[in-house]
Amino acid sequence: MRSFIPDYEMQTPRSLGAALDILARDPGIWRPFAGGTDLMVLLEAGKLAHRHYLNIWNLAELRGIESASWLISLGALTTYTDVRRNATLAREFPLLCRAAAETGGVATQNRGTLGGNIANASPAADTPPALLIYDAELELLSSRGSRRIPYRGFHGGYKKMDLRPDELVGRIFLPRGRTGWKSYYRKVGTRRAQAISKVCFAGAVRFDGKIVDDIRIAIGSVAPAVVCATQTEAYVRGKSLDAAAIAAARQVFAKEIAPIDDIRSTAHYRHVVALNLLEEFLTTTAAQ
Amino acid sequence: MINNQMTNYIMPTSMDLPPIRVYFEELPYARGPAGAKGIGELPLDGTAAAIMNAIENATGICIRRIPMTPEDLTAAFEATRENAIA
Amino acid sequence: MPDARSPDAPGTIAVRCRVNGRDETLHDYPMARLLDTLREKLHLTGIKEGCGEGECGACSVEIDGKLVNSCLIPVAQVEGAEIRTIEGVATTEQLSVVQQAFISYGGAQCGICTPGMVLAAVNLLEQNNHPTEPEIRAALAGNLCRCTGYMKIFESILRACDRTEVQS
Repeated sequence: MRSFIPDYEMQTPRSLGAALDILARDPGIWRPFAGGTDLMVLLEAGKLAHRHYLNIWNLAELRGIESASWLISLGALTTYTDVRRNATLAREFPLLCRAAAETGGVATQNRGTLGGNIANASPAADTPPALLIYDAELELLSSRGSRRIPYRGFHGGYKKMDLRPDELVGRIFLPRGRTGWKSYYRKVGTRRAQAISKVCFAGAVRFDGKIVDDIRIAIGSVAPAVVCATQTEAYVRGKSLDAAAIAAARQVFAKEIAPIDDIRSTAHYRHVVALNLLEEFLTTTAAQ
Repeated sequence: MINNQMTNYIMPTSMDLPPIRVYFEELPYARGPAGAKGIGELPLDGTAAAIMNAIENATGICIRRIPMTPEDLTAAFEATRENAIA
Repeated sequence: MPDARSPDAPGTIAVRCRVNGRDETLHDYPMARLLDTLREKLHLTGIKEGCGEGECGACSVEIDGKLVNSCLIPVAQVEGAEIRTIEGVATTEQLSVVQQAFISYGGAQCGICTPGMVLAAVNLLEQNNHPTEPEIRAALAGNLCRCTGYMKIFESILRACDRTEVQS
């Protein structure tokens, strides 16, 4: 424990409205604190520069998974355990459940939240690739009201996001009714649990016979922010996935990622694995 | 200290370990009490070597340095492929 | 140096919760780790700090029935919570079935992971009283053990399930 605890403040607002008022009154002074699985690690390492936190863990408005006929609405405080236990998500959004199951262990899953995973804005986060291929939207709340934006494009760079200092991630929306899609998720880490990813890949594809009708590809840990591989998607759309097309898709994909050497892995390994995951995604879904 | 964080000191979790079966080959040691001899750390010594040998047997890749990571193996595969093409 | 954590030290708060079935008021700084508050204020030293990073599970406690790493919980967030530590697993001299199984089947060596491991096992069995080995592995993935190689831990838990079945 490398931090001086008396330097840190945490206040617990009584309601969502009170929380948003505090954020509006002093933007940037108080930062939201949900499950703490990222922030407390920084605190213990002596790396938590910010000192004033707003405890949002008990805000009921940010919890709950609700179904409408055209979408699922997940509160920002939905934990990974909540995701894993939801039968509708398991049936219709299995990659999100896979991502939740492969994050940390049970203890992390009981405290980690989708909103926190999004707002921590790590390029190595496990749920963003799954959320992206499901065309997730975010509802961002402030005392001024709310705005709803696609999650695609939310992260513009390393640890960057389109979230203003007075805003909270409120809900995550997943559109329902996409039928006929085949999906694939693979997280490659240092071990089978409790591992930050070296590469984290999510893909979904819909075929019309042998031709790719539509496709989504998202990949984490290979760029400063999670990557939506739009050029690879555009290349593959309308094509039949023979060996030549897959080989060419690999080369398009290689240009969309920019892996680096870091404490967990090397640029070369990530490059090789990322391309192999793309190929595995395309070949296994084509064969199903 | 190189391994100064559990996040980077990657030890196996319960999801990682394959089944381990332990057999005892009991040869009494004449100079030990009731034939006993300390074995606490000896099982450590051969494990890395055995795994490296198994990988060499499977892939033909000979690496004589630990820790050996998937990154090392991947780089070695590429080098082998380049040599084969050249 | 005066103990800055006396009940009325400036900046500290009073957090009311229940710990192992008893009402408690925890006095500490709001972002003090629950790990430290439980160990130092309530002397519940069964909870161990193995890593201080949320990786090893030696600090496992249950909050409202959910297994969590207490090194990652600011004490301000347990207001109104029901907390169980390893000390709450067996409250008399009679050990729980899981604890007895760990003793009988070699599930502990140095013991540092054991409080967290037992709590994780008890937590699992309360939700799934007949887990398969893959389910046990997944439930314990957040509890690291350097000594046993896990095999005896799995065996202890599987044996504990048999005995629970026999008992009930």
